[in-house]
Order: sequence, then structure tokens, then C-alpha cells
Amino acid sequence: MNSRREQPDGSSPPVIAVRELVKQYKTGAEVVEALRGVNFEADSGGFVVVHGPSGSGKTTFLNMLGCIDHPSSGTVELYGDDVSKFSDGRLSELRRDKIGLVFQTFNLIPVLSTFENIEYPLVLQNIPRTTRRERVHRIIDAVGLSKEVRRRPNKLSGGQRQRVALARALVTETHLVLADEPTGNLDTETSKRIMGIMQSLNEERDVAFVVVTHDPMVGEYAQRTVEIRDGLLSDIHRGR
Amino acid sequence: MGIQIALRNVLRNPRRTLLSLVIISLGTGMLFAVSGFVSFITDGITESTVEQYGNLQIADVDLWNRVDDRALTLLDGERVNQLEAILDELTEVTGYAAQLTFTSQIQKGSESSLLFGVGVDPANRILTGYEIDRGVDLQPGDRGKIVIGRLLADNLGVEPGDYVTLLIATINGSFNTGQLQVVGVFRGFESFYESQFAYVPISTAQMLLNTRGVDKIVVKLSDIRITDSVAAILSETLTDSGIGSELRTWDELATQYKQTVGMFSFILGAVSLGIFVLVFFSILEVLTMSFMERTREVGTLRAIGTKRKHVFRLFLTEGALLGVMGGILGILVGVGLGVLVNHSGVGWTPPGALEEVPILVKLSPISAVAPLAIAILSTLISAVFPALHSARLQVVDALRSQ
Repeated sequence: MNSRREQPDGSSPPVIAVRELVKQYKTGAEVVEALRGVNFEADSGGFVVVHGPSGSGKTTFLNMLGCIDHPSSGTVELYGDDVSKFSDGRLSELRRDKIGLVFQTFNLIPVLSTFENIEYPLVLQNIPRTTRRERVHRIIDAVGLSKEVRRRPNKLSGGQRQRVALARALVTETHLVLADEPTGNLDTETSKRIMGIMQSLNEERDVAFVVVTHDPMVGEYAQRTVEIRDGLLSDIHRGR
Repeated sequence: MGIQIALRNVLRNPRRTLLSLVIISLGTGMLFAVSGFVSFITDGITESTVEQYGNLQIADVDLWNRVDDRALTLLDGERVNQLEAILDELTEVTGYAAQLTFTSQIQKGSESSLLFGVGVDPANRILTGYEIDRGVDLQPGDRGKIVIGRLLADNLGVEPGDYVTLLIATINGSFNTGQLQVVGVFRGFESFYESQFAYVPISTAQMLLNTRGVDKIVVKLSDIRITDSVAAILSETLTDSGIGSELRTWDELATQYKQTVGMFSFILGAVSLGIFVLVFFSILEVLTMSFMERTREVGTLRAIGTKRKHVFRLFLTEGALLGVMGGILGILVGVGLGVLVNHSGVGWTPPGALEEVPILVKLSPISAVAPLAIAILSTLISAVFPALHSARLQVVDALRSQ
């Protein structure tokens, strides 16, 4: 499912790459540039933390990577494919199959149980029921939610909800997880636990994480830290 | 999983769901009751019309073509025998009888009135379009007897046992008179029928018209629903036989039937449309509100890979489920309303009718089909617009929604 197009030199392309990414918003007559020519790459197994002040364009950047918003110009390449010209339906398939998204506010489906929330992306993929159940149970064990399978989101704590969201992002066996302020609504202890899970999944499953955050603690888990300021991205740290 | 999610979404706001179900079920229930009432009325009209005309009537081609020369329009004994032989072959035919109709002046003392007379065979009465109010009905072997409508009897001041004079043009165009004894006064459904119709033995009608012919054979079938199929077969046989006669079905003969049933169908259609519009707009508002509140959820569904068409389908399923639940509840409400009306003893007097008839609601599964379909369809259509709106949302905008 995560087949990658080979580079001319025979190497695998980065999981995700953006080139000269620009995003402009029109507010009345005024044009606001949220991103001004951003270049970025993330490789398989990478753990990138994106910092930046409020309104700097971090979430806009993540939305572009997650194919839930369109750039004004520039390209977004996923596994070597330029997705800028993809139809809405194809982008949906891309998000379904190749990207895991984690939100600050968890964004779970309130009418579904823990199990069903995690199972949902596999239903979209038309995975057979038996395989679905195996995969859901495996990921539930990995995030430590075995006792909460039947509970609906409103009966879970913030940390548990974020673990469900993380499990939902990973159940499709994607190699790219994009997280927007994943610890923003959690206390310090729970945040550390969530980040610990993310780190181990990153290491054990070779999953690339791009995490947008204000939380300095999250930076401790980064292999690479970048900063977005005034719509421009710059590397501020490499290596865990 | 789609239906499961849709069902849970429908039930997640019990107060709103209850409100929707009340709107749909009341509309459906009302429609079921009105539909059952109209069904009862039209069934009654159909039954009485068939009782009046028979399922089919066979006559000379010229009679149907309204040829003025009465002599040309009659069926003689030989042709009647041939037609009877054909009818005897058809198992669907449960009875047939010859009739001879006429118009005349009826007089009693200084009072007179126009009369539509029907000559019938008292020994073979396959039609009973009236009930005897006073006196007795015509009996086999009667000659020179007549039964007349109640209003006609009142207008002429006639009671059973009295004699009346009929002034009539024979089939040759000469005038004839006959003194007939009123043996019975009948009660009919409509005032027109009671004030202008009378029945005499067919031999008496033949004597008055100075003929041995009859003008039609009235045919009864085992079931009203087979009228058209039997008519098609019989028509072909009649054409092939060269007897020179044609048939007409009861609904072709009863011109008023179509108007009356059409009027009731129009009323039912108007009520259906009203209820459709009411349910449509009410549910449109409820669903729009419900879907709008879930904009962020739509954003999440789309962000994790749900396609627009699946979001659209999900919301449409919610509408359909609401429609099915409301529709089924509505039928139960309708049955309750029907039982209530049927036991209330409330009546009404139809236009042209002489007596009040009870208002009854026919409680049949067929009456439930249209109201149920309208409930589901109106709810489904009202879900289309908000579902389309939700499916078309930009993912990023939907996720930003509070």
C-alpha cells in the first residue's frame, strides 16, 4: 500500500516533500501569506517537531502536508507523487491509505466506541472483517487501551482519547503520521505517555512523525526540529 | 457500519429525534386515515355502481352509437340466445339478465313526472341497486306491476297498491298508455335515482313498447378486478361471432363514477401534497440544524479518508431511517385514528345522497403503502440538501468549525 516511486538514482523518495510551498488567504482586499515558499522533506522513520509562534503558519503547513488544504503554489509530494493536481476523491484515498492524522481536540466520532473509531479507516479501505479485528486489537494493545474497547469517547479521559486517535492514525499501517498539537489538551504526565508511545511507534514501526506543537517537552522526542516564523521554515536542530 | 453510524446519529439527540418522529408520524397517520376514508368511499361507490350497471353490458352496436331509430337498437330473441350461449361458456360470468329500458311520462291523477323505466326479469334479478322501503319487490310472473323510487312516490302521492298511468312512445313512434299497479316503493342512495327511476317486469316493458326485443344484456362477473380482462376476451368473441353487438364496462357506462372518484382522488392528492410539504420543510429544518452542528465531525470523517459520496450517503441514510421510523409509527397512529373514527359513529351526507352515511376508515395494508412512501420520500428528499451541503464542505473549513 505504501509503495514508493524510486528516484532516478535508485533510492527511495522521501515520505513527504514540499517545494516552494505558498499559501495565501484573502481577507477582503488584503492578501495574507501564511506560507512563503517553504521547502521541507521527511524521511521514513523521521520524527520532526515543528515549532513556531501562534499565527506563524504551523497548522497551515501541516494541513498542506495532510492534503486537507490546497497550496496557492508549490508542490506537495507524497512517496514521490505530486498530489497538487489530485482530484478530491483521490486525495481522500491518499488520506485514507497513506496519512495518519492526529488532532489537538482528538476528533473522534462520538457515536462510535474505541474499537469502532479505530476500525473505521479499515472499513473505508474495505479490509475484511477478520483482518480488521486482528489489526485493531494489535494497535489497541500497542497503545494500552485493551480495557476501553467498548467505551465511547465521552467516557474516556483526554489521554485515552488521544491514544484512540493515535491508534486510528496508525491502524492503516501508514508510514506517515501528522499530529497537530497532540499534547495541547493533556496534562504533563499524560503528554509524556502519549509522546512515549509515539516515540516507540516511530522506532519500532519505522513511522515518520511530523508534530506541530507549542509544547517544549515534545521537542525532547524530536530527531529534527524546525521552526516556522512569518511563513518561512528553518531548521533549528537535527538529531535526537 | 454505515447504517450503524447513521442509526446512532439519528438517536444521539433524543429530543430532536422525538420531535421529528412526531411530525412525520402525525403527517403519516393523518394521511393513512384520510386515505382509508377515501378508500372506503370509493369502494362503496364502485360496489354500488357495479350493482347498478353490472360488470358489463352487451347491446346492439347502434344502441351504443345512439341511433335514434329505437327498432334498430334492439336485440331480438335469436341474437339474445346467441349471446347467452357465448356467456354460458365463460366461467367468470356468474349471471346475466336481459333489460329493456324506456322513458315515459308517469301520471297519478293530476300529478305527472318524467320516468326512466327499466324492464327486468323478476325471476332473474342479478342486480339489486335498491332496497324496498314499502310494499314488495317485483315477483316472477308479475305483469302490469311497477316498483318506483321513494321520492317519485312522494311527488305523485302514490302508495303500494295504487295504480299509475304510463304514457310512452312505442318503438314504432306511436303513443301507448298502460295502467300499472305500484307494488313497492324503493329506497336508493341518490335523490336522482329515487325521483326518476322505476322497474317493471320485462314483459310489461315489451308490451308498452310494442316489441319482443330487449336492448341489453347485463352481465355480472365473479370479481370486479377481472372486468377488463373478461371484457377483452368477450369483445373479441363478439366481433368474431358477427352478432352485431358490442360491450361496455361498468366504468364506461357510469360517467359520474369517474368524476366522483376523481374528486376524491384530487382531495387525497391535495392532502398528500400538503403533508408532504409539511414534513419536507419541518424535517429539512431539523436535519439542517443537526448536520450543521456536526460540521466538525464531517471534517474529521473527510480528513481520515471518507469520500464526499460516503458523507452524502451517510446523511441520506439518516434521513431515510428517520422516514422509515416515523412512517411506521405514523401507520400505527393512523390505525389508532381509524379505529377511533370507526367506533365514533360520526356520519356525513355525500352530495346528492339522501341519507347520512357513517364515516368509516378502511384499515388495509394497501392504504398504508402511499402514506409510508410519502413519509420516507419527503424525509429522504429533505435530507438531500443538507447532506449535499455537508458533503461539499472543504475539509479544512469543516475542521475549523466550532
